[in-house]
Amino acid sequence: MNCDEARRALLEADPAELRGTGTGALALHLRDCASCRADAERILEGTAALNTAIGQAAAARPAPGVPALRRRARAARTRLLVPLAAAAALAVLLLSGDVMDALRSGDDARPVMVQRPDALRTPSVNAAGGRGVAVMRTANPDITVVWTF
Amino acid sequence: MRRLLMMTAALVLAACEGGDGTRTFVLQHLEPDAALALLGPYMGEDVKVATTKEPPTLRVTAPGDRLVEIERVIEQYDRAAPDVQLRFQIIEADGFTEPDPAIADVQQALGELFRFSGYRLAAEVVAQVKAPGFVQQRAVAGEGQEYMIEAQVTRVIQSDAGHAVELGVSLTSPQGTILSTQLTVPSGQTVVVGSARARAGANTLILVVRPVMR
Repeated sequence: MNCDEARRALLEADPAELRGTGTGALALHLRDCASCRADAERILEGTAALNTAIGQAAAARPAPGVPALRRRARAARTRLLVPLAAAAALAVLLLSGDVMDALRSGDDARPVMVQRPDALRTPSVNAAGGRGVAVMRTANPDITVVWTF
Repeated sequence: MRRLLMMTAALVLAACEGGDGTRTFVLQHLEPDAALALLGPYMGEDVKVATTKEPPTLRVTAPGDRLVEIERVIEQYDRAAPDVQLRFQIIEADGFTEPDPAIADVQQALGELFRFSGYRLAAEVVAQVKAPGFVQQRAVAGEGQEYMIEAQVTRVIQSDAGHAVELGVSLTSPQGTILSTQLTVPSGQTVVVGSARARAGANTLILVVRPVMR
């Protein structure tokens, strides 16, 4: 596996492969290639950060009787609004199957909506269940890349 | 100012009627049933709504704070359906060494993230749809390869904070669905949609979506 192939495989890899464990082609490549290994580590870090953000959002979910806007949000479709880094910075956050599961965890198994105040200024994705999606800001503030895997 | 007065009036009414207020909203663009559906999340035992079709009205009795929220929702959605222009570009990745000026901005953005060896514009279409609405557009690439782009604009969001379009988009070929996703895109912004699930024996396809509210 070369670096180009590895970069594409990274988008579909599970966390174990990203850590370079196992005997798969990607894992073997990551063990030998520092550049791709760094990319894999960024993905793992992004996933961990997102897991934390989702955990905080889930903990902050409103109790019954809160303002209707929040109840409305809870009833909405699964919506992944990925918190992004500073506007100038490139941020890559990947939602793996584990994160999708995290979104669905909780006492009532309802999707969690992570609402950003700038939702009307930054694109967001409503991801289909069971699929991962990466939302990537670019240096151009008017262009957002959405990659499903 | 008008909004402030209306909010104040609602609160005064609420105070006068033991915590509940009653307001009649005369709808300018929404059907009463559609407005009622929008208010679903605000309904409860303490909210009563009666509708008339002619003239189209909603008469709402609710606690003051709830009434203010309901007023805000009606104000946000009882507007003329705007036209949405959707610009789509189908881009092929890999195997193109010459930069394509038609997609220069997108190409640069993709170059920051991926290591595809070049991109080229395969097809481009522009569609107009009134929200909510559906549009289906056929696109033919240079080699005669046919694609179908479908977009379901579910709603537009208009507020002081900005405008955005909620839509589902899909890109299909005679061989099947290539991309499909649901997006919320601020008017005028560009979303580049791709998939890591490569098509067997074919270049990666990327769909660029840019909605503009008119």
